[in-house]
Amino acid sequence: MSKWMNINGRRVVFEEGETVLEVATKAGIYIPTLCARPDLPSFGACRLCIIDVEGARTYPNSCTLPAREGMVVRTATPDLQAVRRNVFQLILAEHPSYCIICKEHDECEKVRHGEYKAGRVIGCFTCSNKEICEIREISEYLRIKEIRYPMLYKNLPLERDDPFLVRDYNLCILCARCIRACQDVLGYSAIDLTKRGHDTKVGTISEVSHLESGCVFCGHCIDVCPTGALIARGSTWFGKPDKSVTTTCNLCSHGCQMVIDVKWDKVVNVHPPYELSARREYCVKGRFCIPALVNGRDRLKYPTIKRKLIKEEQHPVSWDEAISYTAEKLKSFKPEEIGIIIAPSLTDESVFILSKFAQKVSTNSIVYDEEGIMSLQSQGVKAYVTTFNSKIFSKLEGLEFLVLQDIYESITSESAEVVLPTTVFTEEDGTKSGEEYMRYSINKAVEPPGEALPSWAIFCRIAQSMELEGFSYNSIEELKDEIMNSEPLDIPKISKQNLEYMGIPLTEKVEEFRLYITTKRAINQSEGKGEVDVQI
Amino acid sequence: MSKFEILKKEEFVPNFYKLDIAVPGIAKKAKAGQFILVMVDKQSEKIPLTILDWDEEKGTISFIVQELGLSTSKMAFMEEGDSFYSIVGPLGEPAYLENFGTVVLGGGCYGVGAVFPIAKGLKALGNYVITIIEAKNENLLYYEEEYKTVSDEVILVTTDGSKGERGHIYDVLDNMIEVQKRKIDHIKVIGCNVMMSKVSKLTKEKGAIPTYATVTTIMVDGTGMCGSCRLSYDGKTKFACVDGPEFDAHKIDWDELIHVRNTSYITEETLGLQNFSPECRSLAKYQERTKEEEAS
Repeated sequence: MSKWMNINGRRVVFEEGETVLEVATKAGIYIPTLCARPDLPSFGACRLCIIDVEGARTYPNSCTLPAREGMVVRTATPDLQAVRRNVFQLILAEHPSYCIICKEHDECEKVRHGEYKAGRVIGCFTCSNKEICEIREISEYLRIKEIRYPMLYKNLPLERDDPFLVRDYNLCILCARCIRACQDVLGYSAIDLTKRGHDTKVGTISEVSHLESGCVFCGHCIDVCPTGALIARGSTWFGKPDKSVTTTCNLCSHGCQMVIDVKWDKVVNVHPPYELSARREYCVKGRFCIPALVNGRDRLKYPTIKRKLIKEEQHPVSWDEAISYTAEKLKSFKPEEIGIIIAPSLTDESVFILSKFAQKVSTNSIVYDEEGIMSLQSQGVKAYVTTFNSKIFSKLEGLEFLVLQDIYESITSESAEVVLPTTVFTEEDGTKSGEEYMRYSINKAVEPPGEALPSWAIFCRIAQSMELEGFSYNSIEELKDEIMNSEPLDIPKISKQNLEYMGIPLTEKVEEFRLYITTKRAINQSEGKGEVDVQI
Repeated sequence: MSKFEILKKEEFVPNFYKLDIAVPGIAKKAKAGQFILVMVDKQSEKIPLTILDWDEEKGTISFIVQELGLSTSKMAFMEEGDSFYSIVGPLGEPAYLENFGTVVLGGGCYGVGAVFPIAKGLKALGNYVITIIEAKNENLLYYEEEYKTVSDEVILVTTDGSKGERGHIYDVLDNMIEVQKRKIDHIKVIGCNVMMSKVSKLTKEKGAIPTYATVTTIMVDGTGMCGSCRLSYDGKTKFACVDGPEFDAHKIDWDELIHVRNTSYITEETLGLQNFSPECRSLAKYQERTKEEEAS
């Protein structure tokens, strides 16, 4: 039997165990709060969600008060709002909030285009969180025009010694969301409230760096922070994203759902969907490394063919030329002389097309790793078509023709005769089979650089040029239909510990990640844990 | 003392650093209102900074820098003893100084420091100098004591009223002109473009009091070649680096400067920070600590 209570004169249904705040939110009644969040345990730190309960002597917090049958509650009486304003002003007194009460507030919104992008936050105009700030939302709701209390700037140093994270605890309002996400939800306890009384702050045990405190850099503290106190270096100062695209991370086969924030057609931030944000642990690679990996200035943009003009080097050509050149060359080899190498990070569509292509042109089985390449060599393969780069190609004996599909220039591009630029998973649509027979959807967020194409499109064109049948698709939907109706694919799995993407070591392209790995290794080494195992 | 070495670095209020650099050549020739172009490292951009003070004998100059982008962040990470890759200067025309009578100087943000040599120069010429310095909050106000030595009046103004008057420079100016009916012969302002444009608008309305502003523009070479510092001045195009940086504020097209010119490279500026990883000091700290533990 359902239970009923009364909020603002409305009869509202609730279930046993729900707090008044949850009941009100479900019923569409707004109660301001800075510390409560549906995915975190209740805490009662900010005291903004106070309510007027009939028969109660004080104003209790709605976030910690369980709903009772027949309870009569009001959420926004003038008296409550007055207390709330006072409580909120006390919070603002310890938060650099001059911009909130500035006379030029509205005008400033129009002219500040984000020229302030670094350092300590000294007001909303320099804050990276400006566009999505919960404090500003509440100050608008409560119409704060004045702060009665003298403002106190804690003058704590900016903590930016750790990779990926920048922490400015001068902005912290001690809502303890980050601590609850870290301790209660994920179970790491890297941070806690340290010190007492007025000096209370969020910190690590005995103020060691986050690298040593057991922090795994999953970034959930950033996702739940209502202020700009915690920011992800490199993913901030962009303001409101132009669009957000939900897709699947393709750096391993775990299949984490992620939201990609796009601004100016660039990937600027990667974070979990709101409803998942504190429930699922992200790895440091997926949370922080994708923008820098995708946006590299030296991404391959045009197909190139190795030619000797002055010296032998890669020359940019049109797609038509690169495709017909590759097709002609491949035709000159016997089927037993051709080997196809598939990168595990390709989408299902690309793997399908490549397998189909391999069946038609080659008699050797498809290989996925360096061991496989060695076995191809022993079978007398002369022409290789590869979708990832590896040092091994420069040492191959009897190599006559190498087609490389890649995202960055690498050592393999030197031995390759044709280099074809391809897309990263944020730049294409597709499907990905992950662990436990799960299939995830990959959605395009940004345009690929230059003329880069998805793998399946490249190999369809090569096949068409070689006059093979069954490679003409009008859209990816057609291709998806064909995959659904054919034999299940054998998709290689990538381990979570893999530090590469398409043969490109992440540490080479993401400075911060290199820092993370080297520091972790140094710490492991000095603690006698050996050099190799850096857990991600 | 190596070339362009940082002799002293101090963060006196959050985000604002004062750097003393060894550059004898510039110290010999600098004049009030001129600037230098600084390159932090080999790949860094060049950024213009107003010279705050210089010592011909010691061969040092000092400037104030506010951390707000990639290059200034790099500066914030530099320490005493580190060297810049290059410093060019002194560039630009010196500020227009003579005996005007009563002069009001306005400084906001980094401009609080930049206006200092001008105040010094004007005082030496026998002017009655009134300095107004603006900040968001008490904790961001600086140089109050220093200004007392070079000006006859120092007025403090903060956004939230935590120290001095509440409001902005133009509110104080408005009050001086309208309520106190003071006679002002000349006004000079340095700060963000928005503040300067507002002062300019006010003084134009109040009987066109001569107002000079030191504009903040994007600058690349500083010698009039690239044209990235251009602005519309009295219907003509001027270069802030060679024709300025000080201009008659009433003739500047402020809207263009604020909304078009200075926002041209926001995308690149922000993306530039994406792969910025300063040398990780937590590793160094950790190693230091383990060494100490081993020793004890």
